[in-house]
Formats: sequence, structure tokens, C-alpha cells
Amino acid sequence: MKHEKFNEMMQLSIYGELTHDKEIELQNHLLECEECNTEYAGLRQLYSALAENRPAEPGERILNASRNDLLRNIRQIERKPSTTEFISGWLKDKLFTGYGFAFGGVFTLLIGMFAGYLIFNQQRDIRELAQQTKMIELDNLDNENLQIANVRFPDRFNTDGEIEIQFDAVKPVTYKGNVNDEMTKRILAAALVSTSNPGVKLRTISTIASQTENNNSFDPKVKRSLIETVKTDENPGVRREALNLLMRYPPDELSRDAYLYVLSNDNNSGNRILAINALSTLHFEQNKLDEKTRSILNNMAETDDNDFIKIRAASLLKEVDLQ
Amino acid sequence: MITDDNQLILQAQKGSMEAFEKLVYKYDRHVLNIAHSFRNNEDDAKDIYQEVFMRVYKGLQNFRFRSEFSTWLYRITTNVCITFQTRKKRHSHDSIDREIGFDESDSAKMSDMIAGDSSTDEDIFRSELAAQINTALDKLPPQQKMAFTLKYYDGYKIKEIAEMMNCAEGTIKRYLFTATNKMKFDLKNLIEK
Repeated sequence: MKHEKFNEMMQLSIYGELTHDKEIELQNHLLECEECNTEYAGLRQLYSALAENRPAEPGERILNASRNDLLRNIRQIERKPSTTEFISGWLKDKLFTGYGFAFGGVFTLLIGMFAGYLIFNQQRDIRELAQQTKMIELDNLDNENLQIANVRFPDRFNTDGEIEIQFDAVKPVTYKGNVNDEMTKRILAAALVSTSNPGVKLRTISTIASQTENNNSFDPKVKRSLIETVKTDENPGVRREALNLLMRYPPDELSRDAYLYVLSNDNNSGNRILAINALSTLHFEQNKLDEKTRSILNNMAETDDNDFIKIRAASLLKEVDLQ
Repeated sequence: MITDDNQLILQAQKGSMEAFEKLVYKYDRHVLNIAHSFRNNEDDAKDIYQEVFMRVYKGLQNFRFRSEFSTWLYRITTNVCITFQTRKKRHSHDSIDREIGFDESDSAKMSDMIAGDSSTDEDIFRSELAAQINTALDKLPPQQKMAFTLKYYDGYKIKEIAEMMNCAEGTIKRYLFTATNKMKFDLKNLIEK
């Protein structure tokens, strides 16, 4: 029992969490007790073995990759649900919550009866019905000038002559409006963040760029989308073009934060160079360097993989200190 | 007094993504370190990071300032780590170390596989020790392992660990004493070399 008490004290002593009085009591006991002395030595050996094998801290790259993944995941859950998702969500709410449960039962029964009718009614040929449905839908496609896109063949290897085709029927909409119209800004901002096609994004950025240049239009919504693209887009080329365009907007704290984010998180050195150049412009315009910028520049000057960024960061800091 | 964190939380609750990012970037390195020390695996640490901050993102609206943000965050982190470990244990196949076993007679075989022919005795010993420490850690119940890695690898005080794991200090001491004794027993042959 006595040794057990000292065993606990030994562990606390090794953690550095034993009070001064208890430490003296323990040391006195260790002078007298051979058994506890051996135990204490064993604990110290374990402690140093663990200290030597402590896992190395994950590097900046892992931290940055985790941050980018997080922003991407959040953007995904923030995305407005599509019509199908909205309908399925509504049905789930109605069918699987509270009073909707009873309604769900009746609904399921009705579906069952309807399915039974379809299956067992010999007067109608199901294949013919399906064929008719297909024709009606295809007629609609023609009438409404819908375009077929994203064609998929779920069962390509079926040899019995039946073929299943899945496709999206897309209706093209042409919109023409002034670059300062609310709708134009909404479409441009949405095109930047909601499409996954890098080509479309690049065309959108180039359209915004030419309109911005010609009309001096700097919309905050578009700017926010640009910043989001700069921070989270998977394609480095898209991030670079968005960054180039962001640099043409009047500088403010938001754009400064975006540059700092790119500088410390973007794994593409070209983008980081662009960001540090943009930062230097901001710095000269405002004639000062805040703490956050200073700390990131310090970090870049010491740790960045790219020599140019290291030198540029150091020279920026030096320039500011000389002023 | 309104702390920086509280201001950021209020702004994030109103929908400011920038405030949320600032909150994340203030603490995420610690979260990643805790996860990495606990699992000793970068991919697992990244998975834990995602789960922790997605929970924070979803739960921030309901944060009522009854505790510090950091306390709340670290409680989520330790919970996610413990759940992660439990889930992994349930689904994983036996690791190479466990298949090879702990006997001294088997250790040489394991060191051959890990270190290769060209390694020195010291390298072999180090690899063997590292592998056996990880195996011994994996054998601990998740709560004990959490307390143990927070103490030995991350250097938190018992009081801080108790807050992080939402337990009494006495419970954490018990976890640590039990875990230390088990580790000492499992690594006896190697440590006394």
C-alpha cells in the first residue's frame, strides 16, 4: 500500500506535477527504498523512450491541405440543394417525422396498390407503355427546344436489343444585360463558384476582367466569389486568374487577407509569388505593415520552399523597417 | 469581458465565414497535433481534423458561451479521437505488429522486416522500439490512450487533460497510472535492454 502511494508520486514527479513537499517526501523515500528506486528508474526509462519516439509534428503542407479540404467540405454543405434534393428532403420531412408517419403509411399502401395494378393488369403491355412514355418525353424535348447533354449508358453490354440511355435535357437561356445589372452580377458570381468546369470558370473570369476594365465595375458580390475561388478552387490556373483579377480591384482588408491566405496556404509557388507581389503593392499604398502580414512574411522568409518567395518576403520586411 | 474568440463566434454565428476561418486557424494546429500524436498517422489525423471542424461548424450556432471556445473545441477533438479509435479497432484487420507478436524470439524477425539488411543494430533497435510503442499504445483502451498521448506526447497538464476530456482530475490520474503500468509491462524487454 505504501509503495503504491509512492508509485503514484513517482509518476507525478516525472510529469513535473508533484508539489514541493511531496517531492521531498518522495526523494527521502527513494534514498531508503531499493524497490522504489528500481521502479523509479524504470519509469524514467519509459519516459525517455517515449520522448525519443514522440511522433513528429505534422508539417505545414498537411495543415494547409486540411484547411483547404475543410473549406471545400463546408462549401459543399452550404451549396443550395438542387430541385431533386429539395423534393426528396421535403418528402423525407413529411413522411418520416411526427404526424407525417401515418400519412407515410397510407402513401406507401397507395403506391403498393398502384404497383400491383401495373404488374398484374394484363390488358396493358408494360413495354409499350414505356415506349410511349419515351416518345412523349422526346416529343417534349423537340417542342421545347431542349438540348441533350451528359449522355450515359448504364448497361452498355446488353445484347438483347434493349438499350437504356440516361441524359440531361438542358434548356439554354440567353441573357443580355448591362454589367452593372443585379442579374448579371448574380450570374457571374454564381458561374465562378457553382460550376465545376475549370474552362467555364476561366471564361467567366476573363469576361469579368474585360467588363471590369471597360466599365470600372467592381461589384462586392463578384469580389467575394473571386476571393472564394482564390482560396478554395482545386485548379491552380483558375486560382491564378482569379487572383490576377482580384488584384485589379481596389485594395482593402478582404483582398489583403486573401493574399495572405494564398501566401501561406497555396501549394502552387506561382500563385504564392503573385500573392506576395500583390501584398507589396498594398504595403506601398498604405505605407505600413500590420502584425499579421509581418508575421506571415517572417514565416515565409524562413520556411518557404521557393527561394524567390523567401528573398521577396525578407526584402519586403527590410524595406518596411527602413522606412 | 468579451474575448476575441467570443467576438469571432458571434460574427460566425451571424454567417461570417471570415470569422469562422479566423477561429479555425487560431486553434487548428493544436487539433491536428493532438490527432497526430493520438493516431501517429497523417491520414487519420487529417480525417479527425475534418470531422472535428465540421462538427464545430455545424454546432457553432448552438454554442451558448457556457464554456471557453477552446475547451469546447478540445472536448470535441478528444471525443472524435476516441470514437475514431473505437471505429478503427472494430473494422481494422490485425496490424503487422500484432500478427508478429510481442515475444522476444519474434522481435528479431520483425526488425528484419522493418529495418532491412543494411540497417545498423541501433537502427533496428529504434525501429523495433517505435513499432512496439505504437502496438502497446494501440492496445490501451481509447480513453487511456487519449490521456496518455495528451500527457506524454503533447505535454498537457493533468488539469488541462481533465477539462479536455470532461472528466475529474482523479479519473485522468487513474487513466495515466494504469496506462503507464501497462506500457511499462509491454515494453519491459525493450526498455531494459
